[in-house]
Amino acid sequence: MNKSKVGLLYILPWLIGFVFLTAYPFLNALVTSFTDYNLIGSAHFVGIDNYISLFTKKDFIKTINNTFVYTLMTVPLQLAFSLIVAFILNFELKGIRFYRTAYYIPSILGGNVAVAVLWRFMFQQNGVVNFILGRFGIAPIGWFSRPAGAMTIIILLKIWQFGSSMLIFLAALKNVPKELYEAADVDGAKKFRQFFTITIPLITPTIFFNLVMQLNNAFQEFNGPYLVTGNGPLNATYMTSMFIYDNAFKYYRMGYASAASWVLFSIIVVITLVLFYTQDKWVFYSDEG
Amino acid sequence: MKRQLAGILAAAMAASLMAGCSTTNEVPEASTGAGNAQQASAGDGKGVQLRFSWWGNDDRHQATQQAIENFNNSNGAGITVTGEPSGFDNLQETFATRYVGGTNAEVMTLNYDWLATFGSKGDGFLDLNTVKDTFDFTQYDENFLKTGMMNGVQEAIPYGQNTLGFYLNKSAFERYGITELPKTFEDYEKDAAIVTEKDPDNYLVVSPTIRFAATYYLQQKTGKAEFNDDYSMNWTAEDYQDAVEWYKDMADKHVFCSREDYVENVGNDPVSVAQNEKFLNAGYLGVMEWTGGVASNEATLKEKGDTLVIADLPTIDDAKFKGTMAKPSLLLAIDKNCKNPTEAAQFLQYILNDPEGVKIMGTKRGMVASKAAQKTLEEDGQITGIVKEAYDFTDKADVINEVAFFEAADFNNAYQQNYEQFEYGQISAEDCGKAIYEANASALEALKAQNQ
Repeated sequence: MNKSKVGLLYILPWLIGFVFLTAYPFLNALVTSFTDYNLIGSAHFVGIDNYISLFTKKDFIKTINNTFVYTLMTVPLQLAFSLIVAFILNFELKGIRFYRTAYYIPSILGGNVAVAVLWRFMFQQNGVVNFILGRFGIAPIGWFSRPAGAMTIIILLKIWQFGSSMLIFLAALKNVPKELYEAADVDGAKKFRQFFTITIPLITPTIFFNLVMQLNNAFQEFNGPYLVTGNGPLNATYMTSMFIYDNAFKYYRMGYASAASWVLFSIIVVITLVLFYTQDKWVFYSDEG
Repeated sequence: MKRQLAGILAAAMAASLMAGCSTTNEVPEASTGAGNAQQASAGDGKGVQLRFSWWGNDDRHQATQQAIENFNNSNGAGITVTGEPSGFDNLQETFATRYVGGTNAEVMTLNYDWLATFGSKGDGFLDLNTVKDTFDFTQYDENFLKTGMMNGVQEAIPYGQNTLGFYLNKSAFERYGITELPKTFEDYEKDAAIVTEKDPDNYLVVSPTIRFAATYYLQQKTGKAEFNDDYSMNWTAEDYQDAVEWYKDMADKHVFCSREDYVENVGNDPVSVAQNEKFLNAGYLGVMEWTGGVASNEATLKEKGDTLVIADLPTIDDAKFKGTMAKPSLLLAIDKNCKNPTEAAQFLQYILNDPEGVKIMGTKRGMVASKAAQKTLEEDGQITGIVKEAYDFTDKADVINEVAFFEAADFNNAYQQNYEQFEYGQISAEDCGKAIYEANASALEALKAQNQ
């Protein structure tokens, strides 16, 4: 057996998984998006009716709007927060390993049911958040029953899960040559200036990577809003991924849901391509000189 | 050699991946020692494995798991049932996904509207007439049994009747000095004023959905059910407008829980409040719900030292109908592709009619429709307290029976979304009534096209 055949055999399990669990559903969703398939009966071709219906109904537009607000709030904040924490954890402090682990834990917990229950307890009317606010003379806030409050909760939940990007930043920071800082010290550059003129430019490939990944994640966010706020109130936390789920499994409009998923996919692709196009202007790869 | 070994390993991994996708009702030979499982399952049940799915609170889970364990130990035919319990969240989505994916349990619990959605043509679940020698249908009222029938096929067994009622925390009312529980909506308004004078955030009655109260109101106002079996509507946009205005007025007076308070303290979806903190702390002094949930509500309040009672049904002014609504509480069905239908029916017979199984299952699913089960539970002293009250209440109450598709998600959503917008001041009552009417009409049209 030649080497290429053995290699193929090694990746066969993954390949089978990819074909049947990713590629097939992916293409099947595209075909389904042009039908009225409803889980129960047979599918009929309806052309682009599902797509037209999506853009003429305000509930879908509202979810797109919510998803953009959520993404625009969480991605920059999470990037900034994870970079700052990584920068601090890059110093050789006592017990630094414990802190690195501790800060990563929220990312492992993610948006699971236990976390959802915890966050509901924290933000409920007589919860710890309102208790702390009360100490500063602020009246209890109905976090879940106010559109802005509910959106704030799920944004905070997302930012709280900054561990993964923090670890990637930490690895990038460790790769910045120390000599550059020494030279800057000799030239009299302050730490603040060193951060923006040495650190940031040298880790732009990592910032770019984290940005693309976070954008992709944020656009597809489901667990946090689904578990913590439902889609309420007034659909203020109704994300496009939840709209897809509801239409597919609650209302059995599989064709309509497939069309929505392809619209979301297209948005993500366009934004990712724009980012890739702009990287020439702000991302510096050391091997490009 | 290494290359060959790698090839074998890769092939084995791929095969195991595929094996994970297959479904079977039989236990592998090696694990049972029962010989050919297929052969065994055909007659004596040996080596047959079945799954049973249901939802509920902890009390229901414990009773059902105990009944399953007893059945497994005592059936004498080697049938092993595995329980698949779940909470109240996302029941429909979970069921739909499993049903369409073919991974549903062999014996399943259904909501009434799922029967209409997945079995409207009579071919969604096993025709139970094929197991009538195993399951004793004579224990059921013939007419009530028909609620499990679609297109002339007996696809499911209705467990019992669910009647919508008002259940009040008597102890909490007494703490406010109210010794006589409200009987009319005027009484509710007066009592709400007393309660909110001391605790302004409290409400007298919480309900999983505004639709319960709105339907209750409009049935009394019009004397008709919301929908007919032929997918036609009985209520107008003006009726819906009237209902949402009435509910909002009641919510403003803290008789019914406002949508804002529900979202803040319970959540966005309709769920049982039996384990809700505000309900347990008497922030809600009562609940409007199906009788099927009353035992759970009573049990959790009892742990806090409070007593739940079934209240008289209040009537609106100029009511054309002085009652409430009813439907089968839940139904039990067997998978149409089940390879061991006789054994599945044996299990159903055990939990629904057999004295031993019935005693263990108890009244955790509300009232039972089986005459044998009712007799067993009465003799066992289990139909007492709130459960006895629920039986008496159901017997006495005038009810309008809802159609099978009444609880389809589209209808509940139409009420919830539009009422929420109205309560939050985003739309007028007129627009809200119109929006509910149009959403319901559209959903009915889709259902009709799908099911006919």
